Amino acid sequence: MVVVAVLAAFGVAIYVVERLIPFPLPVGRWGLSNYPVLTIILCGRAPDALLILIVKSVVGSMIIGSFLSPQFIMGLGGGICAVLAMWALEACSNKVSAVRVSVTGATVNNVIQVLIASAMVKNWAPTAYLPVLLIVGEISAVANAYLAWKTVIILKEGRFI
Amino acid sequence: MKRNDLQFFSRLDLFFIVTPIFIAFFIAAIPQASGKNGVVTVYISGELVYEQPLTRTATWVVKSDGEYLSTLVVDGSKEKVKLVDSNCPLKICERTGWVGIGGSIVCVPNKIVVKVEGKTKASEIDIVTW
Repeated sequence: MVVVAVLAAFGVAIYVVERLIPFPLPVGRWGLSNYPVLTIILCGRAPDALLILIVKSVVGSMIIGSFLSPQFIMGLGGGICAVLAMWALEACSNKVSAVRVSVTGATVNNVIQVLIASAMVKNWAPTAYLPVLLIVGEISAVANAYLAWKTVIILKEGRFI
Repeated sequence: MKRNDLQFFSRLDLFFIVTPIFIAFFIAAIPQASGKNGVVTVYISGELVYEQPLTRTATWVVKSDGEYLSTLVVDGSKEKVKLVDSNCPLKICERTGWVGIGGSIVCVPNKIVVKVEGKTKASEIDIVTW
């Protein structure tokens, strides 16, 4: 539980700081705040991942001031679907790799977010952002995978989890 | 916790990495199904509310039910459009800046979509525009 709390706090911090990093599109963020979520999933504790995701989205958006805005709903909806997809991937195979789980989560997250945005404006125009989002998502997914993989090793060696 | 054999990368992952790239190029390659050429269109909640040629310099106030939302600026000489003075909180539509043929501006809070419809040469227009 302590590890979950620390990771959630970490997620909130990254969520707030992350938006200062320049992004190639006017909308969107790199998604590095998903690193704590990925870490706990790779520890085999997907239910806790949902908890971390909700805490980081709610607390983070309250700090930024985007709580309950369309962006918040897109982010949370995409995040929940991503966690469920990563959970399913873990449950269906006895051996997974960090990159595979991370890339799956990033892709599902981006696709769902764009679909939510399209539904909100009742127009398919937001899908034009998807190609760039998917490619950028892959880059940060591999970065997240590396960080999470290292973290899981440290957590397990120290018997924190 | 049994999974001490967590790998960072395995060969199967290449498939998982390549698939989204394929989806990305596939979506980027879908041609815009529109017969219009060089026309600026504004949609609110999926409904067409305004249309004008791209070559005519103009500003148009975007309103919905009498409520001010945003202002559309069309620069006929540059053949580009942008949204200014939006009343939405994050101003993502304003930060999109000038958009040319094949591009679009989306304002999710106000449900506004501005499209510059027309033929484009390359399929990677999205990447060039944004």
